[in-house]
Amino acid sequence: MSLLSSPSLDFVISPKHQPFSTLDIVWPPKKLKNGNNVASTNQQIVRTSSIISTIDSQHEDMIHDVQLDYYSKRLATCSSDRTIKIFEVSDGGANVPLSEIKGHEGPVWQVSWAHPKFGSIIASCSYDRKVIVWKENQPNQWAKFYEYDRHESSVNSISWAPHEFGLILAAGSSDGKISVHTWKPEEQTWDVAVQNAHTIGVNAVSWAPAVPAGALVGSSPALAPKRFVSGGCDNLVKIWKLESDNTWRTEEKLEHHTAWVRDVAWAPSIGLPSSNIASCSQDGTVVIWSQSNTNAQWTKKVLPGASNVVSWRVSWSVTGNILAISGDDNKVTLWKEGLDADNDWKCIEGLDAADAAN
Amino acid sequence: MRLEVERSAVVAWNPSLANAGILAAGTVAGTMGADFDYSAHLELFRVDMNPQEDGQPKQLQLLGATSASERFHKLTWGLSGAQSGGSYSLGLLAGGLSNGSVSIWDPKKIMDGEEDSLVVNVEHGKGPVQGLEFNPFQPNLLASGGSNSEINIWDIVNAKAPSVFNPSSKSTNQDVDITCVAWNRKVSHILGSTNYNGVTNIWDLKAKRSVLNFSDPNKRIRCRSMAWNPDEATQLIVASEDDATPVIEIWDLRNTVVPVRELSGHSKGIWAISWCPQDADLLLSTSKDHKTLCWNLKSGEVQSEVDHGSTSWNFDVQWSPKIPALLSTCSFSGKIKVVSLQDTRSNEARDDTSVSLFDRSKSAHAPKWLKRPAGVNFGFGGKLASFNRNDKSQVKLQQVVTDEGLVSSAEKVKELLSTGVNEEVEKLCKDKSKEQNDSWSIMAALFADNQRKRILENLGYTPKKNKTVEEESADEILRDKEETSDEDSDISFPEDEEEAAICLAVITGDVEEAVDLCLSANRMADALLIAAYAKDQDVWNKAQKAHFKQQRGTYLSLLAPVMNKDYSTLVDRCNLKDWKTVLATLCTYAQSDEFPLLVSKLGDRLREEEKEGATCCYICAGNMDKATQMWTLDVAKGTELQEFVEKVIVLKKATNYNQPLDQKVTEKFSDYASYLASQGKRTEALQILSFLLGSQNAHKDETAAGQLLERLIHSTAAPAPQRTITPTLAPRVNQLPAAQTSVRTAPPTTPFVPQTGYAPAPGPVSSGPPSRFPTPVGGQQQVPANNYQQVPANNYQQIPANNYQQVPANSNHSYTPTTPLSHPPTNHVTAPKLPSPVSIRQVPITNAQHVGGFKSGAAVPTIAPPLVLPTPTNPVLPTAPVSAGPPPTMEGFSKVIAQPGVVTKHAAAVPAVPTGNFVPPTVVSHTSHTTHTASSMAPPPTNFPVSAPPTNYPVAQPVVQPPPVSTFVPTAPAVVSQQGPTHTGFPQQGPPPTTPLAPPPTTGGSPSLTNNTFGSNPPSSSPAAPSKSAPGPTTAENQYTIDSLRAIFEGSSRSQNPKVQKLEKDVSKRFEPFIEKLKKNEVSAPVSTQSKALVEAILAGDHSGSNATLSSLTTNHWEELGSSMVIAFKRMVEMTKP
Repeated sequence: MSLLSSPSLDFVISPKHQPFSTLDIVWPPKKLKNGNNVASTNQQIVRTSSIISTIDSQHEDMIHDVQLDYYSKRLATCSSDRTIKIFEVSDGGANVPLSEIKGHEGPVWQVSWAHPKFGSIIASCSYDRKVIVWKENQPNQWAKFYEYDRHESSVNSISWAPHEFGLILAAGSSDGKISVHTWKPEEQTWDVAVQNAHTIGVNAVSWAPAVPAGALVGSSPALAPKRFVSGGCDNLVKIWKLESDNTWRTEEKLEHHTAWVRDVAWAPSIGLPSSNIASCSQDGTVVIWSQSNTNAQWTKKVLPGASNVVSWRVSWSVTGNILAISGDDNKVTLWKEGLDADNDWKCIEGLDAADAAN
Repeated sequence: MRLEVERSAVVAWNPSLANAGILAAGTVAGTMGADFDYSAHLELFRVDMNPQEDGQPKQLQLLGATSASERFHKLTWGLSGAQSGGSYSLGLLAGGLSNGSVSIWDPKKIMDGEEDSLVVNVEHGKGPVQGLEFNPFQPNLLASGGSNSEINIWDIVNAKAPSVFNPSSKSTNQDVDITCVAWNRKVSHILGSTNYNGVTNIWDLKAKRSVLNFSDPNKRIRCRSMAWNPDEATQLIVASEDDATPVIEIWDLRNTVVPVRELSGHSKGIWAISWCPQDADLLLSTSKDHKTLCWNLKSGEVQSEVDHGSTSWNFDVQWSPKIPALLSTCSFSGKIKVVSLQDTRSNEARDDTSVSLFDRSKSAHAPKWLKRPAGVNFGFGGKLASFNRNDKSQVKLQQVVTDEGLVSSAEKVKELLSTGVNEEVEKLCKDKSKEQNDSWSIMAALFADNQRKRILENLGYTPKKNKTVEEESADEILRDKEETSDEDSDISFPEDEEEAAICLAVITGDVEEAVDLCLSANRMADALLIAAYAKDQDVWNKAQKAHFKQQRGTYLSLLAPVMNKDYSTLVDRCNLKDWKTVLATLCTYAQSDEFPLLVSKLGDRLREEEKEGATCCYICAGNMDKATQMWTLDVAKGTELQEFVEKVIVLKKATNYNQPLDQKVTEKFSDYASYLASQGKRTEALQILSFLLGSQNAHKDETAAGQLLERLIHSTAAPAPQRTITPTLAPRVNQLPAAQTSVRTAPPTTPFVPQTGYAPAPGPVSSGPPSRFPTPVGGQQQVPANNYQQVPANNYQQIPANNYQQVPANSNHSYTPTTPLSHPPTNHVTAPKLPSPVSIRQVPITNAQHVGGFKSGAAVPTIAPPLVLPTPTNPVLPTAPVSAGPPPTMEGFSKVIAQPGVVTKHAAAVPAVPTGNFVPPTVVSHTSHTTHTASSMAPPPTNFPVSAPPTNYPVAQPVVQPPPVSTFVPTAPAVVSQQGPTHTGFPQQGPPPTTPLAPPPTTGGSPSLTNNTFGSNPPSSSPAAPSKSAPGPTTAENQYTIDSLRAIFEGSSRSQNPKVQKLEKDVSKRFEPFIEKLKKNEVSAPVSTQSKALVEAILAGDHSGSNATLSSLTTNHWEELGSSMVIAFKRMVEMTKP
């Protein structure tokens, strides 16, 4: 795999060449580092990302998720140590820990920032089967705003719906169900809809953008129908749509993966009629599902060169045209849709921990 | 989710990711099917993860099956050859058979249903092969362990003929069954094996032997299975089959003395264990106590139970190598089950055979497969946050930039926004415009000071250049302004290169260039248009010139000089046959000063060929000389001569030519005259000849003409020569000696117009005209006749000219009765001579002068200070109007008058006069006088005290002008004549006779002169016999008057007002003769009295009184004073007006 074959990846533990006792490679925490990171493995070097800073989250256990808020001013991390930590980040590299949120009884799998128009709100899900929504009532004072513990298993993923729809949260659990929580401001309560989604567990949920596809191009309804995509342990990617009778129905089942779908992400709208969904799986593949316009067929494109490495996370850039994948090999790769005839997705950058540590 | 199939088989999971859902099952040995079927099958099943809604277990999907020779004790799946390009896409299945052999199948072929799926069958040993495992790192290595403690390592690179290595051959183990072999999960060359004796051997393939062995120190347990820690290379678990000690021991090879931990939970021997490959904390174990447990190795507790409540026990349990939380169990009840520990159906719905891993009662141990070790997330602004297990608690924040060009130019944009300095921005525009020449250059222009110009430049319309760099864009710009005119034609930038260049030039404001281009392109009309538009004279001229040049040969060549006012060119180069045209042109356009020259030139050119034309030209030009020349050319005697003479005379009158004419002409004239004389017409002859000759002393010439003249003169002279010429008039008189007298005789009655008026400088008007006018003879003797008479008398004698003068003066008076009247006439005479504007004002003065020599220093009342009026002796003044002669003489005078210069200042009588404006009677006048007098015409009184050739001459000038000859005729030729010398144009004064009139400062005059300033005038002039009051010392009264006048004059001369000064000069001039007269007491008593009174009144500022006196003077003593004086007085009065 080309991504791995770079000479600078000496420290990357390749599945084939694991030294006897290198399981516990401790990277000393590095100081703040600004500078250009020379891309080493790019097939096409467009530009490299520059590391703004490295934040020592001080988590005592594995980190499971990082999320930047709407303004990219704050960073939330959650960890197996059952805490959520909030940091203030700035371009200058000064990262200030703001607060620590405790409340979960198990490893916190994901955090998600809500749109600031609702206030300073963050949601988290944990192995303790709970979905908790936190609200910052006073600066750096977070309190539980909402808690849902009806899942029977670990809640693996949460995702806020586009703010145009209101304050709506979807959660996927290892019990195979997805719960959609809708905040009703006039009643000050939450509405919950639970849906069987994937057999042995839901690993990821991601909402579709509210701006309808094609808003730039043609006339479209004001808001798109509520949709989200989920990926589960049944190797499937499913697209759910809220029907008029307020039930969620599977609009589409996307099959490709042969192992757990670890993450799904719906690309933000760029105004074009097409929609993109990225899914990464235990089977080492990352697939981009594309729909040229509403109600069209979904076509898939497997990202080349990503097999054999389990990808854990996929994330679209805010402008919706760059995909970041983090793999089990501790590398982050960036992908961009090519402009050639095939519209192939090309890796524009491959970051790896080794470079960062240096 | 539950999947199961009814098989009594050992299973093996496909270890690959891609095919993780395939399960191979081989019929297990040691059992018998219900129907005592002893067949052995090897089957492949697919594990389908899709849920079954009804909760019922789903059947494993059979993919393929094959039969085996023996039943299996162990089944293992290796990926040997499963790499891309390998021959075994699904790897190889190896089974340890109960007959001690190891068979290898190709699962692909099994799946495909092919017959030859058996790859190889190797003999391991005698007893059944219970331990079998492919090396996970090198799938071509297969370890097998059987009885006799034999362990074989098979290398099945060449699957058909595997090679074997027996590391155990060196061992001296007793014959004990190897129950399990397991390759280390971290290190590829380490193999572990367990045997019934409870000894665990660690084999190092590199060392090719067992490097370690250990067993539980306390018990000698029968180990049934072992498993290596998937994360820790040195850890392994050994499980005992012994019911007494159903322990699971965790050993760490670093310390093989004691196990790290023991897990107890089973009540009976453990048959199989499986270490969770995803989560090293989880261990599955199945035991004879019917339990299949999942252990949390960290805590040592049972995490959950699988197949809870099952009645049969599983002899095998395996984690799916790749699919997290999935495990397979094989039970002796003949079922293979695949369950997921994540299954969380409610207890009620749940089959009691499965237990959720996530039992709430248990401590929450999150299975590792849920633990995301790495993640990445985009944030707003291209930020990327990421973490991974290597970085531990470090979160990396990055800025993703995929378009560096954009970023760097963003810097520029930022600079742009922040910079407030226009120059920098402008510089940026300039830089940019170098690269890309679109809007940037235009914008750069905006910052420049002269925006428009810069914009022009940018458009490519640089002045002075004809480049059309940006013609295209210019085209667009211009085309944008298309209008629909009436003709429906668009206004667009021309495509023609020439036109384009012209347009460019105009657009940039470079009109000159445009015109040049037009000219070079031969677009004359355009050039002219543009030039006219430009309002630039130079350009216009250029264009015009070019056009003319081009149009040479056409009518324009005629018009060109006209338009260019280059008449001389016209004249020089015109075609002679077009002379008439040219002449007409000149008539129309030529300035009066150049007209004569040009026409003469034309005439010159025509001389040779077109005599008529030439003559005509000369006539028009007033070039008498040449005209007469022309005439003489073809004149013969007889009638032609007559014609000739007439022509010449007419011409002379018309042109006021005062210079000697051509010899030939003179000869002709004399011929004629002699002819006439010989016929008895001596008078006529004399007239004619004197007229022609004009010179006062012509009669003294030695030429034939001169002699003839003299003869005629003498022969026609009147018998009573009046030689007493008042001194004042002397100068003039002298000039007109005989002639004058002769003239005198005639016109004693002629009302003299004391030419005082003539002289005065200001009064050029005055002077001239009066003389001319014939009517004067009729005598409006406004001036106190006394004076006239006195004067005339004297004048006649002394200064016949006086008469002349006076006549003219009279004549003047006749028209100029104290008023601007004779203005017209005066104008004729004087006006032309003098700048007309003055005329009006001065007319009054003139009149005054005429009247009586009042020299009101210009009608400017401002002249308060007493003027010292030089007593213009009337007689003197009148000298101007020489032609005081009798009416008859007027004719002569008129002729004389024809002579230029006559007019003007009669006052010239007192030439020297401070005013100097005197226009001494011209020589001509003298001549005229002479002619008039018919006899004893002295040579033309060229001796007139021309004295200072005052500016009055110009007055005379006009007389000369082409203006109607008629005017000349009438009037006081004498005047004219007197003025003669004043012509500037043609005549020159006859040598101003040295002031016979003692013009000079005679003002003071010799007392003897009293009234007559003529004082020292030569001959006749001297006596200046004042017929008036006795000559003698100036009377006191007169003196007083004189003094007062002087005072007044001086005062006015001091005045700042130029007009006043002028007037004063005029007046003082006029007064000179009077003053002279006064001095000589030639002024009649009443006049002197009244003049004194007037002066007193003036000095006293008594305007009304002075006016009254003036009027009485005027009415009563017009004759004596003469119009000039009258005017002078009047002016003086007005000057003193408050």
